[in-house]
Amino acid sequence: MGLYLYCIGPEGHRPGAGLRGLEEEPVHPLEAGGLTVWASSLEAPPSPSPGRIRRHDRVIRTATAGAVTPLPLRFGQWFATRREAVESVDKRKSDHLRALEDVRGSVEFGVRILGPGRATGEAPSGRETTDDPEAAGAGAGRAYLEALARRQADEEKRRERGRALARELGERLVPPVRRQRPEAGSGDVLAAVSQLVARTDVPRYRGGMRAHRKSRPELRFVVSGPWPPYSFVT
Amino acid sequence: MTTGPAASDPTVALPEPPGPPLAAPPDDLALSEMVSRVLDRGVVISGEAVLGVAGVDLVHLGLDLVLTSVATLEERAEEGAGS
Repeated sequence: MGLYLYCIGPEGHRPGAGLRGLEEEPVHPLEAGGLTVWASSLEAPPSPSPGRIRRHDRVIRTATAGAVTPLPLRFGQWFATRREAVESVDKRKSDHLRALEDVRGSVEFGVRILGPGRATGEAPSGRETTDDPEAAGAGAGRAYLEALARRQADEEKRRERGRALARELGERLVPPVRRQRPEAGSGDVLAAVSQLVARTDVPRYRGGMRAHRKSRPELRFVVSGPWPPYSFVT
Repeated sequence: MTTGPAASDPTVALPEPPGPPLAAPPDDLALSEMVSRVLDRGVVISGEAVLGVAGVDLVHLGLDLVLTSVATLEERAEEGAGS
């Protein structure tokens, strides 16, 4: 029987009795080089499904519910034997200890920044249906290339705008935001960021986000969280 | 970058500041965010190939995901921000 891992915490950080993980297997502690890993038995590497993804996240949230902030593991960390699991964790023990210190007492929020809403029937932002390079036709070579160049320029402008909005958001919310990880926007999303916030600063963070929303009425902000600090442990 | 003492002594338990418990967000709001975090982020220690979502068509994965519209996400976020 193999072993499936959920999160890595400091020594002595153990799951409570009765906690169930994937396939309803009990979650138990695995001691590895001065660290404690939450794990459960699993016959084979699991394939992702909405139910398994939720269960994985739920175990990590339970691990984060107390006074400890463990390192969330990515879905799919499965080992054929206990020995292999312990060796893999121990091999990067110093990295894990450093990461534990980095995220200690913190949670993560996700923010998506969107532009103004579209009117019914309006084309998706960043793509003009009358300027579609593919619609220009194979024979209209010059027109095609010009349309392509315009589209690429528009895309770059959107990306630059997204980067600027993400920077502004980070600057406005520091503190309480400790670290920010930006991502590229796509479609209607101009920018997306993950933000690391101390748990004790969550009320202050929410207040700061509300104030920032009011200062930017032309934008829409979709905030999710708090999450375990998935984005800040690698 | 964060500052603070280095974890030079691996046997010392790290004291944690108090804070609110980590409750799960509303399911439909969080599913797409959860998928991207659980499948594409977090620590990787296994030598096995790990499935990620970057550049992968989720439909071809056979995942039965319900992606809420932006408007719904906004409404739920507004409700959540008031709590």
